[in-house]
Amino acid sequence: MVLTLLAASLKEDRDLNPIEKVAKDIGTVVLKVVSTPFNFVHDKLDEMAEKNNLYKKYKELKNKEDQVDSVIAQNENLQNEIDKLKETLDLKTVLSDKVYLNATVVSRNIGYWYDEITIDKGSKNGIEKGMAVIIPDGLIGQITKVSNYSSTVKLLSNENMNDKISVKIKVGDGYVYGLISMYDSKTNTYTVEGISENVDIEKGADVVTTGMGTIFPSGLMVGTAQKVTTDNFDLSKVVEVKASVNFDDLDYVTVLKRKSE
Amino acid sequence: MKAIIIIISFLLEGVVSNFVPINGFFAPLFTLVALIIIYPLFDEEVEYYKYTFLTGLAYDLFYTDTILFHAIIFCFMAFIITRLNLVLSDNYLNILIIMGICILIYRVVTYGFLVLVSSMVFDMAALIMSILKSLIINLIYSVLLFFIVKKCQKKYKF
Repeated sequence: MVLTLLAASLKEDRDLNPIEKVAKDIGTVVLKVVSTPFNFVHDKLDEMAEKNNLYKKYKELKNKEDQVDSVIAQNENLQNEIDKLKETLDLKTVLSDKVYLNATVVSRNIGYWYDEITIDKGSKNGIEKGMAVIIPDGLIGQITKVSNYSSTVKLLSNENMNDKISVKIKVGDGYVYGLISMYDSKTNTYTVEGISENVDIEKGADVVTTGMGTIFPSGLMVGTAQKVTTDNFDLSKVVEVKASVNFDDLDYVTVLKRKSE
Repeated sequence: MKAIIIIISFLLEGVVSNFVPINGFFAPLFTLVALIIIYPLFDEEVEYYKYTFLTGLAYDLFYTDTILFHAIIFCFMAFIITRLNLVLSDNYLNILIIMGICILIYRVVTYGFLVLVSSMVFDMAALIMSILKSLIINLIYSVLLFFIVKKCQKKYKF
């Protein structure tokens, strides 16, 4: 009986029933209220730690400041080109088009086996199952369950990540394509398989999502290539990718919705 | 009092999980700890099982999005706790022993079920690590909670 209940609970396409939705929403509100003083202290401690590094950060930002104007100009130029190409090709959307929704992490389920987090935005805020979830450093997971005012995010560090994520690795001016097959929590690395092209992948090459399939928009940062080997049959390359995100430090996240036509 | 201990531990588990590293050595299982500590406060076992079932149900709804899974597992753990309390008396050392045994059983049982019904691959090292990860913080919490409960018991005579 336990096995049947668990199997039914873990079905990927299962939606929460109305009772579960109400309970989850109440739980989210209660946890948010209880967490407020703890979060306040945590934020203050972070603030104090950051204050010690202010001068170093100022120096870093000062160096970057000169580059910002040129990057903005370049970005605007590229956006204009995309708009013109969309007009020419009569495209309403491209794979990288997305809508942003910010959310706060209410709880992280670490006592349980699956790496999941609960966020304080739900279907009433426009969240839908399957949306990509990111932090400023890169992709962290996808929405798996949605109630009215909260949602569950399955992290990429989750062992039970059934959906293989399609990624591309920058090689020279082009890209090679592969699939993330697993995550190693000890080294914070993903394994990317299925790269059949005979090309040299440089250490430190950016790995981003392709936008293929229905889950993730393209261009989301996943990590950087760390080590390249070949599979057991010497037919394709296996790349160890250092995750760009730190799964231990998730307080605020952004949910991405791919723009549909 | 019993309900308050469970509710505080239940909420604290959610709060603490936000501040400890996801792959670190501090995986809180405070709800299970609370169920172990409050057992001697019950006069009747049926009442204890009722509390356990409801706590498990809330755990399913709030934290894991599962249906009745933790309600049943917690009842099974309650059975283990009642049996262990028959042979071990109510003191600090025995609480730690019961805690260790319960974490071990809880982890093995949940992992076993998940391996059977999901695409997870059985990994002995991961299982051992998860047990070790759960031990430190929960043993500390169980000692603290036991101390507080004993103090309150003396003061308010419940």
